[in-house]
Amino acid sequence: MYSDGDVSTNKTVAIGVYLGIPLVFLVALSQTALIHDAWLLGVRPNLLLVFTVAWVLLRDVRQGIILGMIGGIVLEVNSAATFGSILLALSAALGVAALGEINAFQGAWFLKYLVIAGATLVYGLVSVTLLGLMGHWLPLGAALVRIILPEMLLHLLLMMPVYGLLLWLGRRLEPRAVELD
Amino acid sequence: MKAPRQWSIIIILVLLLILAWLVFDSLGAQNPLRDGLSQVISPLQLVTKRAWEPISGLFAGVGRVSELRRENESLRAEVAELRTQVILLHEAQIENEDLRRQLDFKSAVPNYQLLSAEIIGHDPGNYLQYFTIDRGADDGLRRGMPVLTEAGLLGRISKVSKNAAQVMLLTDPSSSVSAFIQRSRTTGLVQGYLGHGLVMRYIPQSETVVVGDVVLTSGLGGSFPKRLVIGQITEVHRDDVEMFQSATIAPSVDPHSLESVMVLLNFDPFELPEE
Repeated sequence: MYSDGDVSTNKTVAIGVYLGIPLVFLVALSQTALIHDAWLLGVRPNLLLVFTVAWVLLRDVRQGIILGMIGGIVLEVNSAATFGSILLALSAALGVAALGEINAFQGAWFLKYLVIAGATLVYGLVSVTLLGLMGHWLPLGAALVRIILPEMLLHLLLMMPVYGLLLWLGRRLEPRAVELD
Repeated sequence: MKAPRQWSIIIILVLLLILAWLVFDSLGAQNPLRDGLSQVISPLQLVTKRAWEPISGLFAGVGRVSELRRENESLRAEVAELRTQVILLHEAQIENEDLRRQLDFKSAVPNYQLLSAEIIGHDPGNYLQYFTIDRGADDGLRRGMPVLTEAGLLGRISKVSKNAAQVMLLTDPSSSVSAFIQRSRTTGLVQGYLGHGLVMRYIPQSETVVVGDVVLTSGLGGSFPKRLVIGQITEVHRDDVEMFQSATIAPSVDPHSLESVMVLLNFDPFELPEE
C-alpha cells in the first residue's frame, strides 16, 4: 500500500472515496459511451479495471471494491451479459490487486504492472467462464489469444498514466497529515 | 557670448530667409527652401513616428484598460459562441447527410417499413458484440427484428425495454445467419467470432469460392428476410480432409463508426428461444 508515497492516511480515507466516486462514474461512462473502437490489436481497454486496480494499489482494497461496485453497475446497465457478471469478474480481479499489498515486492516499480497483468488475466478468465455459464459460449483459447492477451498489453500501457494521474491527484487534493504540538 | 551686432546679422538673415520663403510661396513656384528642409526632416519624422507609435499606443491602452478588457471579454464570448455554432452546424450537416442516405434507402426499398434509431451505448466489454438503441417496445420494436443500415445487415434486436432495445451484432460469437454467395448461389452459415469478425461455414468443398464474393442473407430459418447484404469474402479456408470449406467475411457495415441505424418493422422473425 502507498508504494509511491504516503498519500493516504486514516483521516483522508473518506475524502479519497468522495474523490473517487465522480472519477469512477466518469471512467465507467467513458467506457460505455465513448470508447467504441478497438484501440490496439482489436480490443478496447477496460478502463474501469485499470482505474480500480490503480486505486487499490495507491489506497486500499476496500475503497477499490466500493468504487469498482459503483463503476461496475454503470457498465452492467449497458452490458448484454447477465447482471452481475462484470461485478463478479471485477471483484475477483481486485482480489488479485489486493495481493499486491501483501507481497514481497512491496514498493517495487514493477508491482503495478505485475498486478494489472494478473488482474486482467483473472478478469478475463472469470468473464469467459461466467458468460459460458449464461449461454454465451466462448472458446477459451480464442478468448485468451484474441482478447485477454491484447487487453493485458493495452492495460500495461495504460497503467502508468492512470496510476500517475491518481498519485498526482492524491498529492494535490489530500494534504499530508501533520503533527500538531 | 555673441556681440549684439552678430545677433542683428543673424536676425536679419532669418528675416530675409522668411521673406524669400514668402516670395517663393506667393509666386506659386517651387520652394527650394521648403524642399531642402523637407528632405532633411521627413526621414527624421518617420523614424520618430515609428518609435513613438508603440509608446503612444501603450499610453492610449493604459487609458482604456477597462474598456479594452470589456471588449476582449465580449469578443471572447462571441468567438466561443461562433465556434459552438460552427460545431453545431457541422453536426447538423453530418446528421442531414446520414438521414438523406437513410431516406434514399427507404425509397429504394418501399416494401420495407423502416424505423430510424440512434445508438446510445455499446457493450463495455470485448467479449460480446451488442449495442443499445433509443427505440423500444413503445415504438413497436420486438425481439428478433432485423437491424440494418443502407450498406447492409447489422444484427437483430435481442432485448426490448419500454424506450430502448439491445441489438446483437452479426459479429457476436452467439450470432448465426443463413446466407448464400451471390455469384455462385452457394449456401452456408455466417457466424460471428471473437475479435469482431465474421466467418461463413459449411460451404461444400465442391463449390468455388472467390475472394471478393458478396454474401447475402438466404432467408432460410426465418430469422432474416432474403437478400440483405452481409459482407464480402476476404479469405477462403480450404482443407482437403474437411467436409466443408469456410471463408472469412468483411462485414458490409462497421458498427463502431455508426451513430444511427434502421429497424425493419414489417418482418416477423421466426420466434427465437429466450436467451
